[in-house]
Amino acid sequence: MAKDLLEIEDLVVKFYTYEGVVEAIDGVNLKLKEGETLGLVGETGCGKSVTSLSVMVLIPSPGRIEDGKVFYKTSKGNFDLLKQEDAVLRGIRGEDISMIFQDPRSALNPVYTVAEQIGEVFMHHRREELCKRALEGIEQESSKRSALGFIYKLEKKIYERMLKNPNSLSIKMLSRIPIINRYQNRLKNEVIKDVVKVLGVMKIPDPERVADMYPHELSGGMAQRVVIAMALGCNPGLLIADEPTTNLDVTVQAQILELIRELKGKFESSVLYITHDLGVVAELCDRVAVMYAGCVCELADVTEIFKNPLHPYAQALLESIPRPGKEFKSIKGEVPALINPPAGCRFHPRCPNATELCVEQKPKFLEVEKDHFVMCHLYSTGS
Amino acid sequence: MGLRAFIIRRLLLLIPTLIGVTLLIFAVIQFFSPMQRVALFVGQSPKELGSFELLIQKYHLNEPIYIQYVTWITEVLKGNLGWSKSINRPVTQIIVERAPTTAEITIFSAPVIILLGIWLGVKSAVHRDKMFDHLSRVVAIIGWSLPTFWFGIILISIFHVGLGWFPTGRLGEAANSFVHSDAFIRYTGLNTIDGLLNGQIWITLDALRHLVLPVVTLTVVIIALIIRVMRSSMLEALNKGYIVTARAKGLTQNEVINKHARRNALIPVVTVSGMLAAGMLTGLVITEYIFNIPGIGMWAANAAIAIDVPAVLGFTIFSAVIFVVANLIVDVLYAYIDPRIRLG
Amino acid sequence: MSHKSRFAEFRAGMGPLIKELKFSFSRIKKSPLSIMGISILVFFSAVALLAPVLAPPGHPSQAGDPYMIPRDSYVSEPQQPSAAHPFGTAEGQWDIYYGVIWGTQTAFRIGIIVVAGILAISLVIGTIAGFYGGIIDELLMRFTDIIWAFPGLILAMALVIALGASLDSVMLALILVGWSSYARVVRAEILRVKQEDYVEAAKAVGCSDLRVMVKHVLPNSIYPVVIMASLDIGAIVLSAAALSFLGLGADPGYADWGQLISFSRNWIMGRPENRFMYWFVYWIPGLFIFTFVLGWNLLGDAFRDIMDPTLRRR
Repeated sequence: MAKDLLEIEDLVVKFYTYEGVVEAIDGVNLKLKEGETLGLVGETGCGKSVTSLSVMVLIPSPGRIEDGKVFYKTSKGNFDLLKQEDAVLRGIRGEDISMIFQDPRSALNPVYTVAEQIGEVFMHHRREELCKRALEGIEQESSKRSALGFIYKLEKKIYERMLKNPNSLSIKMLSRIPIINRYQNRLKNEVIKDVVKVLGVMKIPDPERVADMYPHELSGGMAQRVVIAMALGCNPGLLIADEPTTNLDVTVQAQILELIRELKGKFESSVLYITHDLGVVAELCDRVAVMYAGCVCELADVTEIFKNPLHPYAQALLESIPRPGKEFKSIKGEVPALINPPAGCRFHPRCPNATELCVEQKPKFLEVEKDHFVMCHLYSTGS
Repeated sequence: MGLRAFIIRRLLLLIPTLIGVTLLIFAVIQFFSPMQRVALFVGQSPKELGSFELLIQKYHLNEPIYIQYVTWITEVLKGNLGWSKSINRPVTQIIVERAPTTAEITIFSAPVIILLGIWLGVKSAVHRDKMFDHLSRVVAIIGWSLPTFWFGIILISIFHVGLGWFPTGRLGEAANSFVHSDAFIRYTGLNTIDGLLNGQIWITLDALRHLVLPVVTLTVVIIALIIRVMRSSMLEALNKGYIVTARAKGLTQNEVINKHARRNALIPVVTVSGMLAAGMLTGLVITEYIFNIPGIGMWAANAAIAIDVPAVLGFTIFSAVIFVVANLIVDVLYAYIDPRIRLG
Repeated sequence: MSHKSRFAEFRAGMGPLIKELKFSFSRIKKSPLSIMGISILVFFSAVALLAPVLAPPGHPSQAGDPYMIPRDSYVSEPQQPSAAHPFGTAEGQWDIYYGVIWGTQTAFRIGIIVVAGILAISLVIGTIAGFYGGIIDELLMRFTDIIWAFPGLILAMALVIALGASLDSVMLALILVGWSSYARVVRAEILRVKQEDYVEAAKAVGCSDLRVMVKHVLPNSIYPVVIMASLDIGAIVLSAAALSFLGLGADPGYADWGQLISFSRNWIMGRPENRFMYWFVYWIPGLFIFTFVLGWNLLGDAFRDIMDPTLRRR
């Protein structure tokens, strides 16, 4: 049976701004199993991106993660990411958990080539393997040409040093001296090989040429593929996709979705897919979490959500999907500002079933049916 | 398009810019009296020449404006910028002779201003609103508000007159006579380097001692520009999407700042470096004058005081050329850092 | 529509603007540096306005011109501060106290006139270039670039010598050299406003070009440049002082800070028994210049920080 890969418990995130304290996330609960694609749906501003950034512990100031636990399962056990040291987190980011973003062009640094940016992930997380390959290359070449033997010996020494002590000061100094630091070319060539390989997996035509290009030379779809390549390069267990197709043309959207589906199978990763598009959710996801105003109000299998939504917001959301022949329905009221959010259940001002309890008390996130969680007083015991 | 094509294009643009610059200077020349204008063409001491009318004939000063312009430009391109009455030598010769002195101060000031300014700007942005940021901004603003001439005088009064640590002028007496003697070979004209090349370290040290105050004066006044631009562009860069990407890849804070943010943030700084060249040229005039350093700046200052027209104009042309070349270098650097520019 | 509801509409429309202004003011209040800047400028404005009271003119040596500094004699050695001369005298017996007080007026005068001149020229050129576009734009911008391609103070120096050294030449030279950096900013604003609907509407109704420019486009694009230019008064006064220091400004004895400092050059060495004997000759006028420029720069920096949208909300 697939085990839980990621579990978020009662996450609370606040932003301390000039206008006041924005209670962006107040009680997010999620469970993601291995190999599963979990869709995180909600309107703009409901806190989906903040949730995803919290998983990677990348909330920028003036934001602060105030409470909650984010459990992630690695080969070494189950950790609460919020309590880890920065060094540990840096090892996890890019290697165990990766992220792809909404606007691929702004996610890429305009002054570096594709190869340099994708290569960064490899250099950071796969340094040992790359050094070993470099050493093998040195062995091969030096056995063929004995003339420049001492250069090879020197290179070998440098790489062995890098292998043993990646942070050694002497290596850092050597890497800055203009002609001597040519030794890095060997490493860079290995990296480029990997970059071209992963670009090929992304179905990018002519990957060697693309590797040398700058982000502004890429089309939107290409840029997104590069971003995905960067994220999947080190085969992460969890891929967080924050609305990756929102900024793309519809045709390109379909291609990227297809790509993600394929890659999921190939790389065997789990995906946390954030979107506001229910159609994409229906196509791509195994389970769905519905968010509203900083809380996850319902979490269930995708077919369950569409057939049997329990939370009033989820119900209203599905009702409002435009269908030919059906009258156009919207949810009355407005999404609340999160500086002074409504007390109790945040949906109560717009909920047709609101009771006094809903105004006073925040409901708990409970398993109402098998694997079907709801945060609503209607389903807590006694109602 | 590539960097090379960009450089070639930029070099070609140099010509019309220089033509425009000369046209402007020529327009300014028209404000001067005929006597003063004649002095522009005369490459020798005016006493040795014939009558005034002859000179006017010779240099076509009676003819239509475009002929005057052509005559003038031809002389300039031949290297004849007129005669400087304040020193009694041809302008071009003065510039060539004094260039190494001014270059020496520039070589010691410019890197300090740029590198220190960048470092302070980056650090201020990263530690925004903390003590370091406030301190460096205060220092920057004070420096920017200081009149160069006043600050130089204060430094002289405290460190030279009062403490006797750092002298004015270019070299001490003993060093000066040695440098002008036959025992000393002037390879570059820069005392600091020549001292090392001649094996006379004491000359180098003496020259360095004399350089401290002028370099400090120039640096404090100009560095504010770099700090301010670096800081604000760094703050902007740190807000961008690729910073989140970089963090999500697992890079350390240092790598994020130095590899990703800084390179992007340098772009506006490079652009502003053009202004840096202007500031340095202006600052050198005042600084050399105050510290009695016989470079191009001091000659220009004295020329202004003495109303030595060819000298002032010669200096203006010289500055304009330097400035245009500096901007060219700046543009090329810009294209080197930011690949988006190369498409033009 | 009744007056009341139109006013209410106006109020509602101004709502966000008022909110932003309130935010800006609160930011200004919070920043100690900008408070310092404002206080400095208030101080100097007071000194300038009260000059006739603080340092009454009427000395025979002035020959009726209050801007000439009074002098008791022609002795070259500066006199120490005393009751008669609170800040001492400079070389040639010019009273320093009088000089710095009335010098404040000179400084403000130079700053305001030069800024006004720069604004006038840059507005005209920038508007014409931005409004008409095409070849006029190209030509004007090339012209602007060439002037901008000069190190400013050096070109100003050449101009002052060409026009003959005087305070008016200095001001004119600074105007002619300084407008180039603002012309581009004006042009950018014009280009932005040009696309707005009300400009199209005015043209469609048949307003002449001049009317559209002056009545519709200009009022909406002026503010950034005016603010930028006013806050550069500090830099302008600094440049003018440098030119005065080199003797290119007013006649000797005029109440001008830069000139006062130029009188101090021979006296920095002091005397063997007291090296700092003549400190007042360069410290006092220098402090006046420095503080004046500092006030403007502090204010300018604070404004820039506040106006910059990316730096605002933190």
